[in-house]
Amino acid sequence: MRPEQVATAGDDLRTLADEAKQKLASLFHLSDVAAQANPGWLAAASLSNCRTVWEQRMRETVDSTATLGEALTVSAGDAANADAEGADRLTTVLDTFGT
Amino acid sequence: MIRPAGLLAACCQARNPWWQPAYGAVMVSFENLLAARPDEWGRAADTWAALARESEDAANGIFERGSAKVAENWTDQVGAEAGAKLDALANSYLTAAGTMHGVVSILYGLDDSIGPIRRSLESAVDYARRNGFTVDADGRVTAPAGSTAPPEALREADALIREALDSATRIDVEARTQLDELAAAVFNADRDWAVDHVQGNASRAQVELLAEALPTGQDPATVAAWWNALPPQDRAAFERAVPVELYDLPGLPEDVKRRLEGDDGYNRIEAVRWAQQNAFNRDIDIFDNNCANFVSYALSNAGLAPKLDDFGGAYQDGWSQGAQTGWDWLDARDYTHTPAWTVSDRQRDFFLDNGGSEIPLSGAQPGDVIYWEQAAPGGPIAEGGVHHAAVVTSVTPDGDVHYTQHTASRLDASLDGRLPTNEVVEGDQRVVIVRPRQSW
Repeated sequence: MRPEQVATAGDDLRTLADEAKQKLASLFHLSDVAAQANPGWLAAASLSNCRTVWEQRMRETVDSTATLGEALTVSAGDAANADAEGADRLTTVLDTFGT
Repeated sequence: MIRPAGLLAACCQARNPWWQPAYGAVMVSFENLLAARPDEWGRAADTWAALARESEDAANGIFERGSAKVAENWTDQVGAEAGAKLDALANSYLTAAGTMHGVVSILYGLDDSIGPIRRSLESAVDYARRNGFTVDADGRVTAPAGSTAPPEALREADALIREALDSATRIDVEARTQLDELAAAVFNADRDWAVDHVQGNASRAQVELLAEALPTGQDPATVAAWWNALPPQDRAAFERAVPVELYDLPGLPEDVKRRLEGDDGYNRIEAVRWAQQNAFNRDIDIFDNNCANFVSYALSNAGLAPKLDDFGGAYQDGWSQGAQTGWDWLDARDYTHTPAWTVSDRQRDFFLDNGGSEIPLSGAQPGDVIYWEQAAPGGPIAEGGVHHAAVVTSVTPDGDVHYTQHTASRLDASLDGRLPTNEVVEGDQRVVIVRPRQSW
């Protein structure tokens, strides 16, 4: 392993997750505006539900991104000191990672 | 309207009076249709499109800055496992993006179908009032005592209002169904299923929502009144989005029909009709890949003549298929098809070299042919080559080009929805729109 390169990959993932998290809330918001502007339409209620489930799904995906980024960074740091131990710790993280 | 997988076909059959809801569902009320804000559906669609782009960018970022770096810098078993997890995460973003494009299709479909219907309703109400009729809060049209207005005017106003409410209800029901399916797809983890099936259904439904805004089943006089009241932008939108359904309306002016047919040596309406009706007909699929063959069949059935040699026979530089035996194995190997008939790269070149022209994507029309040219290394063929072809069957008002193809069979697929995933998987593509024109 080249720890510095792997750590950079981890940092990049966490940055990507931070940026995505900020954009999600504002982008999903306009679906509520559309639903409220069209009361009485069946599609309005369905859009609100669609927004809710997909916002939750995307938050979980973004959280997974941050978790995996963190795992890469930490393991790269550990590997720089004790390669085998760092690998074991990452394996544990990957085993519980749900993507 | 004949669509193999028609989602609304059953609804098209029944034209119940306005006081008898046809679907066991809540009718869109007169008040709610007049107060509708379809532009808000469109604005919401814009943000779902932005969400899809963010997801696609995230997937690209993970592939390029995550998977690639880990593969290069961590080469043991644990590194391989980490790379696999990164790939799965990137595909999770692509799966989400593929489904989100479906939401985009439905919301634009709502915007672009409810907008003209609401304008038609306003026009019908105005027509009724100009004739001295009363339109009550439920949309009922009545003539006051002693009215001298012709009874036909009352019937026409009433028919237009009922048509608007009925169409809006069918669209609302279908959009609800589609959005519920797109919400349920949140549990799907298969990227190809999301793009091919979930998004594919939604992109087809977008076109059908627009078709539902037409006064299908009405008499010629009502259709003519509807068409005459449409603003120019609505007429243009229907001509590009649902040309066959529009063409088939009784009462549509003849000059509009001639314009829809085109003057390129084949009937564009019949090319689109044939493609849509045969999207899932596998009878013509005698090759491993039948995309160009499907395009050739559509154009041939629309009247484009084969290009033969001076003695009426097939030759390498022509465009034709010879007599077919019906035995697929033999027909595929007996050299009766010219390369331009069956090979997308050769077909694009043939049409451009024989009277056709390349059209900007923004100018695509139903009945054109769409080709995918490899624009970067890493795809199924060398850079610069064309590897796929399809028939443009609809251009929706949001500018999305919908196409119909074989191998695999797709009906009214969305270019905006599918291209980003295609490019992640196959590398950058240049989309080429060709308008064939018979010069032989």
